[in-house]
This record gives sequence, C-alpha cells and structure tokens, in this order.
Amino acid sequence: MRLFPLICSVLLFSLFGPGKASDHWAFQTPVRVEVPEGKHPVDFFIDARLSDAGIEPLPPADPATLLRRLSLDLTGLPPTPAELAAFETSAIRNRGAGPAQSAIRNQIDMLLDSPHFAERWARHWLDLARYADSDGYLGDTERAWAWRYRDWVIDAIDRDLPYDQFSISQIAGDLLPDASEADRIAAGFHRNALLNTEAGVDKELARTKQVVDRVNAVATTWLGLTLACAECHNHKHDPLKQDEFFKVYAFFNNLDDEDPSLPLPGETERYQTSLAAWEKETAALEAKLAEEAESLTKRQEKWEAGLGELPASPWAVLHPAKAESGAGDTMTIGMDGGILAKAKKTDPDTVTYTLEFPAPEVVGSIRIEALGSPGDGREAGVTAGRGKEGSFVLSTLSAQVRGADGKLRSLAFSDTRDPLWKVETETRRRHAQSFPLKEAASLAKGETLVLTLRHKAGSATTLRRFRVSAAVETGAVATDLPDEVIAALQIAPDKRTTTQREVISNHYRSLDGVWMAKRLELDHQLAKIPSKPAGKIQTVKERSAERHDDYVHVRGDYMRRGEVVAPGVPAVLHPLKARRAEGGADRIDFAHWLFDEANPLTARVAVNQIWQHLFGVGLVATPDDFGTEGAAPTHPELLDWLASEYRRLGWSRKALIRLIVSSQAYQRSSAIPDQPPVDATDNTLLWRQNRYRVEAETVRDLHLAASGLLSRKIGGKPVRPPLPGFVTEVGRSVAWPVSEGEDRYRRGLYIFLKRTIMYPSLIAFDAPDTSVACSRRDRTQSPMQALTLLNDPVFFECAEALGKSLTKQPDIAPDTLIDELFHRCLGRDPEPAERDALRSAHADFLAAGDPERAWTATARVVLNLDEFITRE
Amino acid sequence: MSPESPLFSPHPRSRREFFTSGASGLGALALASMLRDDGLLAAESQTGFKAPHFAPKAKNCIYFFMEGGPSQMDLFDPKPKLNELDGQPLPPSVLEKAQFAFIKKEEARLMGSPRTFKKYGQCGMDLSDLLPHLSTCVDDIAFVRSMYCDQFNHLPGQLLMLTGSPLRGWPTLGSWLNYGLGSDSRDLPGYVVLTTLGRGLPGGAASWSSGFLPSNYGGALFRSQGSPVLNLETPDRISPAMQRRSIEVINDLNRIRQERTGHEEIAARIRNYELAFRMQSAAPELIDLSGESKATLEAYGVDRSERDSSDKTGFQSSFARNCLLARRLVERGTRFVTLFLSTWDQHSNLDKELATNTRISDQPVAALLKDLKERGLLDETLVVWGGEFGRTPLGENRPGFKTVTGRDHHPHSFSLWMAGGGIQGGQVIGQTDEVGWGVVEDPIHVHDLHATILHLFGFDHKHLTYRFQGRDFRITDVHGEVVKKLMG
Repeated sequence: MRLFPLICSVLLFSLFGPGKASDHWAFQTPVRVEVPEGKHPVDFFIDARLSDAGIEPLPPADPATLLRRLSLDLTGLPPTPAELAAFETSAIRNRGAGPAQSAIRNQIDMLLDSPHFAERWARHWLDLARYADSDGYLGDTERAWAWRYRDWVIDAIDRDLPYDQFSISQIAGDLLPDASEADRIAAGFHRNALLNTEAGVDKELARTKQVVDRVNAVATTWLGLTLACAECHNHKHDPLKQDEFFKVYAFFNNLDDEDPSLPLPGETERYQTSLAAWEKETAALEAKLAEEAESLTKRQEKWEAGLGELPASPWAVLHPAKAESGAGDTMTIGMDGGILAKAKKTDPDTVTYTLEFPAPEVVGSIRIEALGSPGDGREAGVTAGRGKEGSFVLSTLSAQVRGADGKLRSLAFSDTRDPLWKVETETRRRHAQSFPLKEAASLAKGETLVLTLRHKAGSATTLRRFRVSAAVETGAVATDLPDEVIAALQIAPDKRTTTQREVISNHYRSLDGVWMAKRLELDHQLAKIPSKPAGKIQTVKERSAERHDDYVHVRGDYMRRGEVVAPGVPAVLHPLKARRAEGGADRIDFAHWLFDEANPLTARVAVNQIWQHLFGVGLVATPDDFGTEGAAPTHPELLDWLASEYRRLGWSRKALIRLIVSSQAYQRSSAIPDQPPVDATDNTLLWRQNRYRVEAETVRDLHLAASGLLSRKIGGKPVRPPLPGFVTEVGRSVAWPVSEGEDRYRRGLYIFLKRTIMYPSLIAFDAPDTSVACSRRDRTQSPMQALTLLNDPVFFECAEALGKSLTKQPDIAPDTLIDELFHRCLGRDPEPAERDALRSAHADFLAAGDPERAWTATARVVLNLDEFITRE
Repeated sequence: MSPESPLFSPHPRSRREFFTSGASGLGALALASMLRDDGLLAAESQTGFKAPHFAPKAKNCIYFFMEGGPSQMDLFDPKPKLNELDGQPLPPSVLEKAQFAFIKKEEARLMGSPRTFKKYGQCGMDLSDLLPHLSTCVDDIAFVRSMYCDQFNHLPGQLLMLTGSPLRGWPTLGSWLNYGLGSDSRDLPGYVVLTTLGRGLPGGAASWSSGFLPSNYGGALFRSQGSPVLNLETPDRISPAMQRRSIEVINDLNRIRQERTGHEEIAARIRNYELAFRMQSAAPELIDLSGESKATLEAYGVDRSERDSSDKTGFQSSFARNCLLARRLVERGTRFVTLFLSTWDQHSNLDKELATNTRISDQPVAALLKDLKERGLLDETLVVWGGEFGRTPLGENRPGFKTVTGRDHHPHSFSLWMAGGGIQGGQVIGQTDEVGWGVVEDPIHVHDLHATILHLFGFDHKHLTYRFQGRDFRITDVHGEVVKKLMG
C-alpha cells in the first residue's frame, strides 16, 4: 500500500531540471504536419519512422485476436461468441484478407456505443481522479456519496461529453454560471483528496495538504506535470519560481467541502408517490380509530361500572433522590416519581438499579409499578420492560436503610424468590406488584431508604419505566389500578375535571385490547413515514467570506508567510486571460487557460493518456511527467498531430479513439515472429502491437463475463464482494457487509474502495492505492496472482458457474464443449493441440466421477490461462 | 531510447533457449514429468541460470531498507566536534556548495546530537544509546561511515539504492541476484518483500520490480496485514490430484501460447504457476510461527505491540514478525528478502521519532543476527542495513518550524552496515569529516556497494548483464568498484 502523504511543501523545482526550460519540447505549441490524402494519419507517421529504420511491420492480427483486443480496449469485456461468429464470417467473405474494413468499422462503432465503453474509460479516468469511497488516514470514514461522482464520469463518457467541457466541469463546475447539478457533481473531482480527520491533527496543515494534493491531481491529469511532490528541492535552474506555484495554488486555496442534498435520479418522484400512498393509508387508520371512539366510551362505562366500590389507595409514591444503574444507563426521574432507564449499551451481565429515597416514617410494603403506555396516543409502543416484546424479569429486590451516621441496616422482604417478578404479556399496560416486608419498619427522619433491583439476565430484561411506592401495612395490596386513576374514579363522573377524565380514559385505553390493537396499527403506520430523499453529493464551494489568504509559503510552510500572490500561471507557459476586469482570475479562467489554443500541454497529455490505453504505453512513456525529466515522445509529430486533431474533432473522445483503433498500427499482430525485424524487446517504433496483462478490474470482469455471472447493471452504490474476515479485521472501521444477489457480480469498478483495506485481488493485480493521481499502473507478475486466480473463492465461483453451464449439455461431445469454453473465454477456436490437452485433462478430472466437478475444473484451467487475462 | 519499458518484453535469445534446451525443452512432456517427479526438474528450472564467475561467499541476502534516510550521527557516526559546534554556522567553504531540500541555508546552524555513544565489542565500535541490542552484535558487523550518493530526493535516491539507477524501469538488486543465481527454494519465491510502512514507499512496486528482466524475477510482496499470503488453500471441490493436473495443463497450454506469440512473459507466468502450486504446501508452514520456541519469539519480540499500548500502529510486532519471517525464508532457500521500514525521514521531531524507529527495529534486527549466527546461517547470509541517504549535521531550520528538531536529506555522507555472507565483521570502514558533512576516507558510492554485493555472491558486476533493446545492461551501469576492505 502506498499511502504517501504529501509531507512537504510544494517546491516544484526538480521538475524542469537544468537547461533552458522554455526550449523544452513540451512547452512549444504543437505543430500540425499535414497528412497526405488517402493515408491514415496514425499510419502515416508510424510507417514513416519504420520505413526510415528499414523495419517491416507485422501484418494485421487475425480476426479473433483483433475482436478481443477491440472488445477489451473499448469495453473491458470479452466479445460474445455471437459477435465472434459474425466477425469471422465477414472475414471469410473477405477471402482471407482479414476481416473486412466495413466489419471492423461496424464493430468499432458498436463497441463505442456500448454502455460498457463508458465504464471502461471511466475507470481509466478514476485512476487520475484518485477516486475512493473513504477518507483514508487512520479514521478512513466511508464516503457514502462519492459514487455519484463516479457515475457522473460514466455518464459523461457515455454521452461523449467533449473533453473540454468534461474537464471544465470537474475543475470549476461549482463556479459555472447556472451550474447544473451535473456540474456540481463533477466538481467533486476535488473531493477525492484524502481527508485526515484524526483527533489532534493540525487542521490548517491538513487543509494545505489537501490543497497541494488538489493542485497535484490537476497538474498530473491535465498538464502532465508533477507540480507538487514530496521530494522536491531547490534547483539552480528553476524556470518555475516558487511564487508561481503558489499562484496556481491560489486557484484552489478557497474550496470548502459541501455535501448538499441532491436527490438521486427518480428519488423525488419515488418519494412523492410513496408519501401520497402513506398519507392515504394513515388517514384510513385514523378514521378507523376515530370510529372506534364511540364504542370505546361505551366499553369504558361498562368497565367502570364493574369496578364497584374502590378502597382508597394505601400507597404513597416515593420520589427518588437518586437513581443509578450499574450498566451506566441514563436514569431520568420524572415529575410523577417515575424512573425511565435508557440503555447506554447492551450488557449481558447483571444490571443493578440502585435507588435512594428520603425515608418514609413507616414501611410495611414496597410496591413497584411497571409503567407501560399511558395509552394516550403515540406512546402505544412504550412497554414496561426492555426485554423481548417489552417483557422484563426482576431477579431480586433488597432494601436497606442508611442511617444519618452512614451505617446500613437491611430490611427483609417476605418473598425471596428469584426471579422475583416477571411480566411477559400485556406489556403495554401498567403492571404493579406489592413486596411486603417481613415486618414493618420505622424509619427516622434523615435516614435514607436504599432499594436495589437486580436483573440477572442482563440489560435486555430490565424494567424500562417504573415507579416505587410504600405502604404502612405489610399486607398492602397492589391493584392494577394506578392511584391517580383510583382517585379520579372516586369522584362522581359529572364532577370530574377534564384531566381526571383523561386519566381514567387513558388508563382504560391501555386495557382495551380492541383499541390498543388499532392504536398500535396506527403507530406502526406513523413510524413508516417515507424518508425524505436522502441523496447527497460531494462537491466544493468557493469560499466568499473569510477567505484564506494567498501567499507564498516560505519553504513550503504555511505558517511562514511570504509575499502575497494573486491566482496565476507559470510564466514559462502562455498567459492566462481573466474574464473579469476586476477581482482577479478564478478557477473558470484557469480551466479555460488549459483549453486555450496556446496551451502546449493539455491536448498532448490527453491524447497520450488515450494512446496509452490502446497500446499499453504512451507516446510519452511518462504520462505524468512531460517535464525535462520525463521521457521524450517516441513519435513527436504524431503526438502533435493527434493533439491538434483532438481539438478539431471537438474534443470528442469517441472520435479520437475511433481514429486510432482504425489504424493499421493498432490492428497489427502482437505475436513475435521467429525472425523479428529488430530486437524483439524494442517496440519503440511500433512494428507490432503490444501484448500485456489486463488491469485488475478487468481480470475480475473477464471471469464474471465468461462464466455468465456478470451483472451488467451500470452505476449506483458501490458493492462489497466477499472478503475473508482476516482481511478486514486489521482496519479500524472494518464493517464489510457482503453484497447480496447480483451485486456480488458487478464489474470491478463498482467494488467499494476503502483506502485502508483495499480489495486484495485488485491489489494483487496492481490497482492503484488511490492516494494520489495515478496516470500509469504497474504491471507486475507474482505467484500470488496465480494463487488468487486458482483459489480465491470469488474466482472459483466463476469456474463453478461456467462448469455448471457446460454440464447442462450432457449430449454434446466434450470437444464441442471445449470449443465453447474457448469461445467464451478466449474468443477463438482452440488449436488441435490445445483441444487435445484440455480433453485429456477433462478425462482425468472426470475419473473422479462427477461431471460437474470435472467441467468446473476444466473451466478453471481456461480461466487461469495467461491468454485469458492478456490483451494480445 | 529510454530504459523504461512498462511493457513486458519478450527476449528472442531466451525464447530459443527455452524451447531447445534440455530441462525446459518443448513443454508439455517436460513439465508433466516435472510435476510427477515432485519437482525434480523444478529446482533446475528455477536455479542455475548463470554460474557464478567465482566461488561465492554469500548465498542469501536480507536487506533492511530503512526508507527515508536514517540519521547517521545519531546512530553510528559520533561527532564530538559537532556537539561542540552546536549552534554555529557551517563553514563558508561548505556552505557555498550546499544544497538542501528544506533548510534555509544562510541561517542554518550545526546541530549536535543529544545521543550518548559508547564503545562496544572487541572492535570498540561506537554506537548510540538508541541501539542497545545491536551493540551486542558489533563484532559481526562491518560499519560503513563513508557511503555517498548523488540523489537528493527520496524516490530517485531509493531507486538508485535499489536498482542502481534513479529512473524507474530498472531491475532491483534482488531481481539481479535471482536472475544470476536462480533460487534455492523450490517451494517459495526467490525474492520476497516484507513491509512495515508508515507513510508508504514513493516508488511503490518499482521498489521490488524486475524492471526489464523477465517478471518472475520481481519480488513477491507479502501482505503486511493479517495473513502474509492469501489463497493458499485449494477450493474444497478440487482435490490435490486435480489441482496438480490443473497446473500441469494450464502450463501446457501456456507453453503452446508462448510458442505462438513468442512472448517471454508467458514463461514467467508458467514459472509463477509452478511456484504457486508448491507454495500451497510450503507457505502455510512458512508463515506459521507456532513451531518457534518461546525464547525465539521473545528474542524477536513478536508480541511487543500487544504489551506496549503506545504502539497504536502495531509496528513493533509487525516488524519483529517480518524479521523472523526473513530468517525462515532464507532457511528455506529464498535468495533475497527485503524488509522495508518507513519512515526515517525526520525533518522534525527527530529525537522522538528516531527513538520510535529504533524501538521498532533494534531488538528484532539484533535477534535476527544472533539467530542466523546460532543456526550457522550468518556465514552464507549477507545482511545489509541502510537507507537511501543520510541526514544533515545541520539542524533543519525550516522556516515555520518553531524550533529546530530535525535534519534534512544528506547524500554527501551516510552510514550503512553489513554482516555475514563474507563480510569481515568488527570493523569500521571510512570516515567523515569532523562535523560529518563529507567523506574524508574510503568513499563508497552506491555503485561500489552493488559491485561489492555481487562480488560476495560470486559475480563480477561488469559481467552480470542482460540484453535489452539491443544493449547489455548491468546494475552498476558503467561504474562500480568492489570494496575489498569489507571482506577483510
């Protein structure tokens, strides 16, 4: 993992090395050499160099190889057997002269139009954008909405949004006049920077690091320059002055993070629809409840009549002076003397409540009331206990008296069962229980009564809301009627106040099963109110007040103020034109400056990036460094011609790609002949195509596609395919809820990118670590890659799916199935020797007697071939 | 022509050899028999690519790459005069030529070391109080105080030290040695990389890349978190016999493809599949430390992080485990193990952070040396410890730093040590001036170091070459002198 924070400052001097930087090729305006009519421009330049060197280039690749190359390069997915058949048929019709150009053109157009083209090329772009779904650093908090930027990139590439607009939106989308929602999402490019949220971090230092990263990402992506880096130093021949760096920095120095609500596509409509439905259902339930009111009153009258003579309550409520929970629950004492326990955390061990009361004069019995719902509406859901269905189990109760001298003496209860009291039904109404003492105790003034309630089965079984009372007699009975209800009932119905009437009716309602059922139904409905659209985006906002000052950080330290600078660009490049006469240049001006015709870098860098993804290596082999330390272009005239052509094509990415892949240079064979025309390791002049392993995500996509498991769903929240536990257990926030259903089989670019725990099979195949803009991936080989493809459960699942689909065709000869396997995985027919080898292996696998297992093993062989994960 | 080729490139010479030479001659049969004979031929296929030019002293190498530039005058190179001159400016003669990353040189002042040095061992080597464990090993170690290089920044400096070139695209030392000697391990990679990374490595995979050599000579990066190697278990439904047969036919088919396309890279894939197959049985045993004695585990300190609550990163245990793993690897024939520890780049807060680094590394490094010695492995195992450059005798008065608490990059002189594998221990080579600015005796450039290491492995550095893009490349480019003194 390369978490490589930009520890330094921002001196960019090594960049241009010694010599006169202004003479450096990359700072000269591209010169367009006109191409003779009838010549393919790409071939014109490449063939000229080959011919000068006396090198005969290779012939075109065979149709199957070309089709697979085009499919992988343009969509990152293999061709389907049907595409292969059609393509080859057209080639045969062309009498062996390779596939007909018209067939190739059609195929190219089809691939460019495929929605998967956008996924493929979005992934390339996301490398530059250092896209990830979490903050990085120690906290590595998830970024719930980062993916909306990713989806914007996919959509923009799908629509072939011209590269200038595509870029301007990302650099300054938030500032654009009438910025669209899409523009604001695009400006989320800047939000992909790492974010340090660690406690105790120097916030201003962390912010300046982010700004440096933003400058660096913009410079790498659009200028091919490493403006800010960790290993910078003063150079004697600096063409770029430090103040010039801080002029560029100034464009990005006042971006504030902003996460505004922005409903997802269709989210508002869905919300409105479900809200309307909910309101309707709620109204219906309310009506039902209202209808019930009349018969409820009748039932209450009947209930009241049946109560008969009510004796006065012997109980006096004890108002606690103190209530504590051994589990650290929050204990709130109410006006009525009730105690509400709110769990802090679940605790499986004994939970003890300790309550202290000013001592009553005489105590003969203690009553505990478990207060369920008061029955007055929305609280129908409140229950007496915190257990299952609102139950509780009180294990023991003990009482002590603390004298004024602090000494304790115990009071004995006559009932010492354990558990002492439990309520598991009708948990929504009040329950009460009397606990008589063995003998009544007289307490002195100033003494304290201490009650200890133990719930031995842990916090999941404790009382939730309860109240304690005392009676003088040891035989006091606790009725189910609360004291205030008794008191109210003792008043003649026509003399009762509104409050007293409510006390009675509320209590009755909690007893009335019919009412409670309806009330509960309504409560549940109320709880189901549809959530408002949750969709948010990550974007930035230019700070208008209390702006950070723009000044040179002397030696890269923000605390050391150098001269004040205004936003600007290095003098070695063309001047920047501000739109406004006053107030200086802004990010929009900077973005326009990048696309100014005089800018020598932007177009070259852009076409080089595209070229790299079609030939495996750029015309400039160091796509992130067009400075004097970087590699020189192998075909400078071609680079310049393409740069000017990109602009002429209206910055259409698809048009430029179409142009390049229609060249002979692109379509050449990559196989090295026995007598190569030149040292086979040297393909600088492109006498052949390059052959190289596909990227990490494509390795996975190929498996999913060939096995038929691939979900072709585009966009949406990132997914989490299975991951062994010991991979996640090392990070801090390690939740990795494995995705279900088709989400397990989404393309690699949708895998949740958690910066501290990158998905191991992606890392094994050199996916970037997302810490900084990555313009070129490593391509390593290791035995770990073999282990991954052979044994990783995710890849094995693909082999099983593929094996199973072959087993379903028992009447078909093994050779035919082997051919099918080749078509699906490699997009070609097997050679006889290959078919023989695979048939023999399959026969050996079959010796174990299980056809499905044998085909799984056979499929697994093909999925492990070098060719399968190679673009030839 | 740029030596940098991000593409794997085939090599016609080796291709022809591949198909005509005995052991690896045309494919299927040889491979099949190899697997059936339980790797009788496998060892050959991985070793003996080149015979050493003369009898080697060293067989394996454990390279501690201390990323960032450890501060030599606080660890290995005591400078009483520097302490005396603490707070004085640099002499004008030196100042004029000086170049810094961050220091404001006009106002820079020499900074003494707060460390106390004592003499250890029979050789009387001075070591800082930060290295109590290493001080018990000095008689086995050759300390070099006169290293220098010409790279000022981390990435090119590290690439130079690792590959002999400051540019990307060149093979690392471990790749050259595996290319030259092959690996003695049938069952494990010949080149393994173990990391304990704070801020990461600027070069990423370039730090263990095979460059333009075939990519099976690249380092195999073990995971630094959790299990070092994943996916060692064959899926339940695939029996061992099926797995074996599968690898066999995968490689048969890969061989056919190599014949058709002529790409050497496929041969690397074939070797990696053979190796992966063997690793399935060998690696679980390798990474299982339960067979190590309690004394050994304690000596390395593999559970120090659990006992030290201040070690939030867990680096003390992670580095100790890597050291123990390094011994287990060379014991099992791995040619080259690199252990990265980052970072030693103390521009500020040097006292505290240097102590943190030595707390992580001193004990297990010393334990490893002793362990190798006790097992008789030190004679044939070269141990190298060093970074890409050193640090300035000047305090880093980077403007804005409230106080001067660190040192800047310093390529003009730095220290490094070597032990075992033919190195004459108990000696100090080279000398720096009284403030530790420049080398005044026995200057040793990185190329000289590489030439010496190849010499210990039996190679004349001028003749261990690889033809790429029409030119014979070597790790020392056109430089390099063997430092005879190191070998006594």
